[in-house]
Amino acid sequence: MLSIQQLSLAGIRRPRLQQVQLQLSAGQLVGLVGANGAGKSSLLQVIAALLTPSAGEVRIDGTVVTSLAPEQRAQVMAYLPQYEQPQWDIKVRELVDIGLLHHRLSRRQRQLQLQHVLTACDLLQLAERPLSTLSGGERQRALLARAMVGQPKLLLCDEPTAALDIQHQLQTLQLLQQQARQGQLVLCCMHDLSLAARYCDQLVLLHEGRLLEVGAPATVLSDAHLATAFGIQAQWYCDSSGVAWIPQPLPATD
Amino acid sequence: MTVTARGWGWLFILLAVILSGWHLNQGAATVNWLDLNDLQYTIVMDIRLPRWLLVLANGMALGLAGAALQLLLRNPLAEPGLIGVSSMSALVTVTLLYFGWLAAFSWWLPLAAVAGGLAGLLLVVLLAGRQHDIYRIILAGVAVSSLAGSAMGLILYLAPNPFAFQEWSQWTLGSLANRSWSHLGLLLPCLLIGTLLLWWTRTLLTALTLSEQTVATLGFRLVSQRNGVLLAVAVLVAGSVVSVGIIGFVGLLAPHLVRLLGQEHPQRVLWLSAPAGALLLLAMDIATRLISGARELPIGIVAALVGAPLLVALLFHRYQRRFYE
Repeated sequence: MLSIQQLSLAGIRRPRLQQVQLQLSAGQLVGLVGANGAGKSSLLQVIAALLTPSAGEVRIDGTVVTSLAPEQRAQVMAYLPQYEQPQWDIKVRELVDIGLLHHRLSRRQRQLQLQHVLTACDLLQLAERPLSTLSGGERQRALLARAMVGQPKLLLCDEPTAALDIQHQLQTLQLLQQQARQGQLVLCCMHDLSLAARYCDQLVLLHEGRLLEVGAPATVLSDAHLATAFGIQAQWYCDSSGVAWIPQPLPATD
Repeated sequence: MTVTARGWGWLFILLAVILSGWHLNQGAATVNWLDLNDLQYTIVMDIRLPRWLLVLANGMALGLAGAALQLLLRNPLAEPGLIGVSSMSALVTVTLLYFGWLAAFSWWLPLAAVAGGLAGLLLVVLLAGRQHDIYRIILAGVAVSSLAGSAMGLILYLAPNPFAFQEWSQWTLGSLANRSWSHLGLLLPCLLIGTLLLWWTRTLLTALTLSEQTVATLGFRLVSQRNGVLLAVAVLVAGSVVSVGIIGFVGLLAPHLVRLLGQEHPQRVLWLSAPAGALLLLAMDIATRLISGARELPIGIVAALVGAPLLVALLFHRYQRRFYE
């Protein structure tokens, strides 16, 4: 569904992305992990056509993303940036409706889609409330609902759990998992490796702009990769819910 | 009791009708509206009616321009005067008029003023750099406004017309005195075109509730639509400047007045700012003529005297309650 071929992105001091090659199919939650400056946000922004790569291309279902008109791109993908602060104190329903501004829908279809996503994100009770009256977790759900309402094939989220407490982090990830189960490809930048390992079907590990590994969490978060990409080691254990990591600094070498 | 946007719109219209009655009856001469004699008819048709309509139209134009700019720049402090549009429009108008290159009511005058306003915007955008950061835009706008204001003073000082410099205050502080149907004729096409442009770009202004980065992924042709908004602002402001000079604060206050009434959605702020601006300017013009003695005060002085404390009060009220924890 998503195909990235030899993608490179120039930077000021060093390339932000270097020959990234990736194939991802629909119906999964994929975590984009790596240290700060690894290129995670840059990769999302290139996929969303917010940045122009210096080489390579991104295809969705075989079509080059940059060849699509802005309206067509908006139908197939949605982007949720890391820090989104709505400027005006509008209602939740009005915020979510912004995600449908360029969708040619009848009034009834629009209402149905709004209702559906507000229910899925547990926002129905909050629909008529101004954003300033919401908690951080509720506001993040509203922003996510805005991204989801257009039913995009590809959902790009840049650290959707940033600045949320653990309860809201889990709620957000469960929501993203549900979207993936409904056939979307959900690609998320994440810092928390334990949550990424527990909720994501696949992980993509970036290091200094290069793709280090892609695959199941247990494969990606090997001792060697953790040491290379993060400069840590980890103990891990597995339970019925999945895998969890307990990170530790690498032992000092003489 | 919650008042809907439509309710506020009707209330604004009702207030405008009441204030209009007061405004139309202001003046040295007493007018019997039910039985106008020849003199009273001339006073009404040649002085009071054009002034009243000019106030309403200017208020609408400035209200719309201010709201559009605040929504586009995502900043409630944005105002056409702040980003050089008004000053550059006035500079071009003054240069063409006082050096005799255009007649006072030529159709080319508003076009030239639009060009001046757009030139000011372009200058601000160039100075602000590629990122178009709001703080850079406002800083650049202040620089351009100051430059244009000084240049305007110099132009008037050097103009062949020996009385030109005395009219400097009319251009920089605005004036509704001695205005005629011809002045309205300069403004109305600008009001119509500006409104149509804002109608075309209204969904972008709603989407800009979110960051520009997000809006770029929502299917908008960001550059062309944003330029459409800027053109609309330039046209609306140019029409106002050409007809009455620079009147500050109305573009800043009208959207705030709408938000103070609990209307935060960009569409409601945008369209309700038109009647709100008309109301504000009506009230200011009434106050101007109550205060003025033999020589009429420029309305811009009253606008600043009323607007600045109101702005402080609005800022205090609005930012006292934090939007985000």
